[in-house]
Amino acid sequence: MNPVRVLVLEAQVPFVRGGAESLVRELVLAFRAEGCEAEVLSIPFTDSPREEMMAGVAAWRTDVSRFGGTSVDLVVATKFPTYFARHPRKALWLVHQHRAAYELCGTPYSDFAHVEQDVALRRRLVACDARALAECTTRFTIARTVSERLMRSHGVLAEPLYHPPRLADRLRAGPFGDYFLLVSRLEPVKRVHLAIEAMRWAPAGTTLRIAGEGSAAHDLAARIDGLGLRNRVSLLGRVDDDRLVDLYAGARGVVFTPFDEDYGYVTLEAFLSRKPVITTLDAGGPLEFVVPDRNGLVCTATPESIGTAMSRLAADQSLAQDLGASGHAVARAVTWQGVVQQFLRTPMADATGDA
Amino acid sequence: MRIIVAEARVPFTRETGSRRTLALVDACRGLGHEVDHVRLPLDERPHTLLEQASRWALLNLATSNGRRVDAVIATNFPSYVVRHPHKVVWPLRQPRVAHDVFRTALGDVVPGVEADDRLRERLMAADTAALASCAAVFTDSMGATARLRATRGIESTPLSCPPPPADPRSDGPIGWDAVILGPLEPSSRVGLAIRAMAVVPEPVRLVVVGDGPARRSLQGLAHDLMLGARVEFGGRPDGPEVARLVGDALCVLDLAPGQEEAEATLTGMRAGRPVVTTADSGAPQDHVEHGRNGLVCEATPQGIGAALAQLAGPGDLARSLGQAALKTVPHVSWTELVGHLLAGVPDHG
Repeated sequence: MNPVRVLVLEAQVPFVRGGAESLVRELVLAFRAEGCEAEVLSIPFTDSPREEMMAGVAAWRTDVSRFGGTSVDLVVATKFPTYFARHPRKALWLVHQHRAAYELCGTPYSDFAHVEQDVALRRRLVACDARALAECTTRFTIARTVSERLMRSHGVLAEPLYHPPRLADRLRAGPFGDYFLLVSRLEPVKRVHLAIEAMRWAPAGTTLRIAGEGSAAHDLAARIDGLGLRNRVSLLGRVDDDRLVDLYAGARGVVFTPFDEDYGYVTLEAFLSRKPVITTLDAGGPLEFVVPDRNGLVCTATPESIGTAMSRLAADQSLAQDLGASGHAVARAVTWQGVVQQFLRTPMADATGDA
Repeated sequence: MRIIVAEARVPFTRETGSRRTLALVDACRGLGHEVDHVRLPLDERPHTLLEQASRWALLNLATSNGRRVDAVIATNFPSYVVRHPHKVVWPLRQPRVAHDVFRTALGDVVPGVEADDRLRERLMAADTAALASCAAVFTDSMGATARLRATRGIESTPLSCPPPPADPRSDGPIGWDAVILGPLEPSSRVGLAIRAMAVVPEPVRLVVVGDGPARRSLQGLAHDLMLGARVEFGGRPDGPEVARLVGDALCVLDLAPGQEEAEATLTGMRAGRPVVTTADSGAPQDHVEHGRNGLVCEATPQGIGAALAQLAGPGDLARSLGQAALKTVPHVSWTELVGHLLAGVPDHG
């Protein structure tokens, strides 16, 4: 039997590489590991100038079921506008729609204003999206937040389909040290300052190591100095994969306190290293995995509450161990094999073209 | 500079074009440019080409993520239809049905059939318009440049593709193997080379490198002619192994008709080996001069056989032609090539 031939669809923004790009490549590798013949199909998409945005969408409105003598069995669409591609067996794994027209609309992060032209464009986009999304015969998103947005905007049900973090095969357990680890881009929305300030409530002898870089690095360094925490909080900057694996392995626990995170690989990375996660009630993505007092601790988004949680884990190693072990079981269930098997069950659209 | 290399590519294939494009991307990066590679899927069926061209025309690559893109290097049709204020083309692969090839593996365009004639005219018009919108057009052979001038009135500059690195033993002794580089398709004329072995004296052998749909029938032919170990099928060796095979060879055979590329010829010449080619081979003719750095023969088993016998005969012919080949092969480097391609890019400071 011939291997199943799969194209994973990617909206390329030339010169930009981010999470969506690595997700697409990892999915291709996962299909190959399951014996499929898989490739990325990229078409550039740019929303500037905005008058040309719909032209970019039209470029995706193409038949990807056959190229000369080569037929394609299955396609997986990811972010806007890849789901506009035509194929009778089209699965959706939504990373996001055109955010400026949806959840960011009305915020400073969107360039859609309340003027006739923009309102019309947005209306047209939403209508086109509805049609293209309806063509997908299987619909998943990468995280519950994305599913909720899709339900709100289009009334479309799509289950989150989780995938393992990039370092999944390398992460390992280690001794429970006396430091907490925080891994994050240093941006305001990640609220790293909460964990820094929480150190005032954590017991002496406990330290915090922060791995990552970003625009808030300077402010955070000043805050650490200002609080007299230079001996207890270290900003490590960007660390390589080997070091990161070691840092996870030796931590007492992992602190992750962003605001409304989409997914949060850090939670799964911590669990795969058998470490408990301290997070907040408004953290979004991490709460899809963290169950309070079962595999982590969930607090209000205040330094005091986070510091108290750190104190509990610092004082009780067996608690940290038990929570970490439970977390490990959760994270182990998230596999690329599971993701691929879901997509391989994608049905064909029926003859009428309805999904 | 920020550069996009654009290519239309058939998914799930590993053709020469893509390897060359990847080498171009690497070369640009090696020179310190910021490069990205845009590859839209290609369907080679003639009746789908116009629609694909219109898809490329929808793309405006003047900026990406709010930043200017300085130049686009497009490689093949319809990638050079893309919109950008400074696009150049190299090595130029036009739609085959738009010039002299009516029959393709994926469908015929029949001269005299009204719908097909119209399709061909429209493709030619789209191709010509797209080329006219380029800042510069570069081909990879003098033949292609002459053809472009004759058929479209468009000027272009030929720039050969730098061949892969030669094996360091290019000064080594001449061996007894005639090497022919696949793919093993009917158009590669590997069958002619096998038939030629019946008239070539021992110990000359034929080494067939590469794979393809014609492999089984070619193996059957060698078996029927009872050539035994005199014809060896080398499979799909990697780059260094090809360089080693060529470096140990008597000569390289490059026989396919109407070629747009001279990759096999240049590989042989850079290894200091004479190339035997045919009078109708196309791009190899840009490089091989009969009796000076190689041999040009008739595309018959007798013609090829006679050329091989001459090279294998007493005297030093193979060696002297090979040395001349080494001296005459264009030593174009990727650095020089990229320099030519980007020479006219406006400086935005």
